[in-house]
Amino acid sequence: MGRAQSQYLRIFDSSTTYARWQTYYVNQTVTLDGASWEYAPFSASGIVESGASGGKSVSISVPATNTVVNAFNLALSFGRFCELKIYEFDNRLDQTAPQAGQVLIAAYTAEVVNVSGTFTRLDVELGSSLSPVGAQVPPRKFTSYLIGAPLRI
Amino acid sequence: MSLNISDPLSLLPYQSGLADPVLIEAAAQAADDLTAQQQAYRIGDPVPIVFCRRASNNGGVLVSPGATEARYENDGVTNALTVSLHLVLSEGELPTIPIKDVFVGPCRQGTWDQNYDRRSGTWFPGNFVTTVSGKQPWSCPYYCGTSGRYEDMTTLSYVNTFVDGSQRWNQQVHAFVREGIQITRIIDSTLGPSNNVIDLAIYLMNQSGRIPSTLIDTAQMLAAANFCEVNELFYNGVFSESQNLDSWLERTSNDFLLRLVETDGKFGFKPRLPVNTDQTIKTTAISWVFTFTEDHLLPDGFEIQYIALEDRLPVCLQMMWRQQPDADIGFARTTEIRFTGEALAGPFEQYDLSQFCTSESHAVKVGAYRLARRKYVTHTLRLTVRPSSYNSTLTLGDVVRVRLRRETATTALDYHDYLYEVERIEKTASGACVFDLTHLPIDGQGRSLVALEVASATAPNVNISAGRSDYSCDDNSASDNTALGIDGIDYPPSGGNFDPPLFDWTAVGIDVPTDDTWATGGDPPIGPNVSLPSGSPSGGPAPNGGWNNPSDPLEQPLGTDIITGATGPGGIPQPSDVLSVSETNVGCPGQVCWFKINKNTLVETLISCQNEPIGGAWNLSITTSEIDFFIKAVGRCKDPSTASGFGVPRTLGVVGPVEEFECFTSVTVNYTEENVVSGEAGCSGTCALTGTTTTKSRAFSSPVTLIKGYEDVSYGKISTTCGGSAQTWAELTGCDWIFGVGNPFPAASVTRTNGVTDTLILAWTVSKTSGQYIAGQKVAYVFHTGTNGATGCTADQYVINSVTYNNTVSCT
Repeated sequence: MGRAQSQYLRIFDSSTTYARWQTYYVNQTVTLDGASWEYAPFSASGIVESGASGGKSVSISVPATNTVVNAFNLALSFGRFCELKIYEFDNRLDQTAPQAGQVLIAAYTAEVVNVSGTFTRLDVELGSSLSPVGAQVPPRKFTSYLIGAPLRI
Repeated sequence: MSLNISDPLSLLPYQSGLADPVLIEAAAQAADDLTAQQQAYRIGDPVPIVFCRRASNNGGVLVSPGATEARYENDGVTNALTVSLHLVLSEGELPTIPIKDVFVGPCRQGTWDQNYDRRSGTWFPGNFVTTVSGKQPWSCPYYCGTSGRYEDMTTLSYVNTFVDGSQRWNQQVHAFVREGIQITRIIDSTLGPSNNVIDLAIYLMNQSGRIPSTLIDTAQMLAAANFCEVNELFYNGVFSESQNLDSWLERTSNDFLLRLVETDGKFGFKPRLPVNTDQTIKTTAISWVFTFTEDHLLPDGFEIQYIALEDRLPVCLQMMWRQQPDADIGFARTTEIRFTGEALAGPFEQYDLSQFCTSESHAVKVGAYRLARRKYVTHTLRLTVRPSSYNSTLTLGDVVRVRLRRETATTALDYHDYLYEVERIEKTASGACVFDLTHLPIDGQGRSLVALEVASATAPNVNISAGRSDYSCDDNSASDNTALGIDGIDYPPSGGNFDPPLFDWTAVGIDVPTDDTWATGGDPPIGPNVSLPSGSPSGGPAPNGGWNNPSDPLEQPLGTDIITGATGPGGIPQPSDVLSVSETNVGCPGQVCWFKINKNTLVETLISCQNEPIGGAWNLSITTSEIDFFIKAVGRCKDPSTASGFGVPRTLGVVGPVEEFECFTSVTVNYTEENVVSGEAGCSGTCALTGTTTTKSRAFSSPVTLIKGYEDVSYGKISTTCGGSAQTWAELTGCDWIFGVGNPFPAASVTRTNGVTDTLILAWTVSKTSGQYIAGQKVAYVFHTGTNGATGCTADQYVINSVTYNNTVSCT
C-alpha cells in the first residue's frame, strides 16, 4: 500500500488569494500549481457530495494561531471563499514535495459560513449561506419606496 | 471534541425524492376564482415574478396582479362609475401584452397601459365619488394609495367604466402573459423570456444574493436545461409566494425529473433518469462504471434499507396541470396515472403541477416516474469502502454494480448483484469512502425499468372545453393583438404632484467604517500593545483605562492579622500579656485554638482551644513558657453539617516570638583605651600602638528607652592605623541596622573622620522596616574619641570590656 492523501486549503475572493495552507508536508512550504502552500496542521471532516438535501457542509479544525484567527475572521466578515482540495498519491515515492502524478480526488469550494471552537482551536464550517431559514424567494419585497402607501381595500 | 453524524440511511429515500412527499389534498393552484374581489398589494408582499414562454401553442400563465393605486369617480347624472387601477404585474421587464389578453373578471374590458420601470397611466389616485340623487351611492375604498417609484417592475394601468348598479366594478383583473420576465437564457445565451426551469433557478440564485456565481456549476446547469428542453418539461408560472430557495429548488426539481446536486461545493441539477448524450431518456442497456465486491468493503461496510410498505403500495396518481388555450383563460385539469389494473378505486395521491405545468405530457412523465420508482425501486444501500481508484472517478449519478457473494450453506451460493445510482459520496478524513446508492432496477436486457416506463408514458393530449357559455361580456376583441398603451409618468426628481417617496425618506444609510479593524473585531479596549494593568510597575506606556473589575467579597482574604493584646515593642508579645481575638473580627461564632511555634524548629504545639467567645473574644494568657515561640490563632466557624460542629480552619494571625524584654534608659561602659602614636610627622603614615593602655568607664544616657539584648555583636576591628582624612573605626556585623547616640552610625560599617570632636558613640540595632527596636537585638558599643590634634593625627583605639545597664524601665 502506498496510498496517501494531502489536503490543501485556500482562502480567496474574486481577485485575491489570502491564504494557502497544506497539511501534509510538516513545517514545509511547498509549491503546487505555481503557488506556495504553507504548512498548517488543519484537518477536514471529509467532503460530501450529495443529491439529497442536508449534510452538504464541510468542517475544518485548525489551531487558533493569530494568523488563522485573523484569516477566518476576515473571511467571515467579507464572505470570502474557501477551497479544500484532497490529493491522492503514492507515498512510497517522493515525500519532500507534491508529486507531479498526484490525483485530485475531491474538491470543495464554499463560503466560510460559521466559525466556532475554543481558545486554541477553531472549527470552521464551509458551506453556502443557502440556509433553510432565510434565503427567501422571490427576493424583492414591496417597500414604501417602490409603491408608496398602497391602496387599501 | 467534534461529532461527525451521518444522516441515517432510512432518510435517504426522502432526501433523494425517492419516497413520496407529504401530500396536500387541496384544490389546484391554478383553479383561482375569476370574479373574486380585486386584491391590493401590501407593504412587505413579495414582488411576483412571472416566468413563462408560450411556445408551440403551449405555455403562458394567467396572472392576477394586485393593485397599488386606484381612482374612483362617478358621473353626476348617470352615476356610472369609472374605476382606474394601477397594478404591478411582475418584477423585471415583460414584453408587451396584447389587448386580447387582459381581463376584468372573465371579460376583456377596459383601457390599458403597460410600462416598465415607471408608473403606468396618467390619472391621479383618489376617491371622487359623489352622491347622485335617486341613485344608490357607490361604496368605494377611500384610501386609494399614493404613488411609488416602481423600479424594475412591469406595471399596468387599467381604466373601465361600469354602469350604475354594476356588481362587477371591483372584480379582480387578470392578464394572460405569454412571455414573462426577460432573462439571459442559458441554452442560447439570448436575452428574452424563458420557460426553462433552470433559467428560473439561476435567476433566483443570483437575485437572492445567497449563492455567488462561483458556486453555480454552469456546465451541469446547461446539461439540465437541455434535458428539460429536449423532454419538453417547461415552467410557465407566476412566482409570488415567499418560500425558502433551497426548499423550492429541491421540490421543484423533482417535478422536472431533476435532482439538485452539490458537486465540489457547486450547485447544479442532474437528470433523475439515465440519459443519452443528446439528453433524451436512455432506453437502452445501462452500463456501469465500477463494480464493488467483497474486496472493497470495510468491516460493517454494508448497510441496506428497503423502501417502506407505504411507499410501495399501488396507488393512482392524480397529476394536476393547467390546460392553457390560446384564446381563453386557462384552467386546471387532472390526469390519472396508474399501472393497468391497479388501484382502480384508489388510493389516490394528488400532485399539483398546475402552478407551472401547462403540458399534459409533462405531468404524465412526472407521474410515470413517481409510479415506476414506487413499483420497481426496492432499496437503498450504504457502502463503506476502502480508498481505491474510484476515489477520483466516481461522481454523483454514476451507475455502479454491487456484487457480493452470500454463502448460507455449502450448496447455497448466491449473490447480491444489482445496479445502483450513486446518490451521495462522502470522502472521509481517514480515506474511507461512503457511498449512498439507490437501486437501479433493470430488465433482462439491462435497460432501466423506470426509464422505460417514463419514456413510454404518453399523454392522451385531448383538450377539453373551457366550459364558457356563448354569452360574451367582452368589450375588447379576443383576437385583438394591439399592444397595450404606454401612457405613464416619469416622475421628476421631486415626484411632482404624485408625491412618490424619495429614496432618502425611506432608507437610512449607515456610514461604512473607515477603520478596517472592524473585520477582525475592532481595536482592543486598551491601547495597542499594552498588556499591563493600571497601576502595574512601570516599564511600558500606560493603558487606556485599567482593569477596574469590581472586587468580589467572596474572593477577598479574611482577616489574618487580628490578634491583639501584645504589649512589647513592635507588637511583640511578652509574658503576662493576654492575647485576644474578637468575635467581631472573626465574623462568626465558633472555636479559636491557640498554638505556639518554636521559632527555630517551627514545630507547632497546641496550647488551648476555646469553643465559645468569652466577653466577645477568645483569649490566651502568655506565660514564660511561650518565650521564644510564635503564637498562632486558628479559628473555625460553627458548621452543624460537620462531625466536629465547626467548619474549615482559618489562621487568624501569628505574632511573636514572645520575648521577655528588659529596658533601660542609660548604660555604663567599661573599656580600654589603647594609645596610638603616629609614625611620621604631620600625622600621616604608619601608626603604632604605644603600649600604653588606660581602662576607663563612662555612663551614657539615652534620649530613648534602650532595650537590653545581646552583647555578642561582632565587630571586625577598631582601626589599627592612623593618618589620612578618614579612619574606619568599627565594622559591625550581625545587625540589621544601627542607630547611634551622639554622632550616629548610619550603617553597619562606619567610617568616622579622624579629627572630629571627641565623642563616644553608642550603637544598637533597629528594624530596617519598621524603625522599631527588634526583639533579640544585638547591641554593640563603639567609642570614638577624636584626637587632640588636627585632621590626620593619631587616634587612640578602644576595646569594650563590659556593659552595665542602668535605670531599668518598662518596655513599651
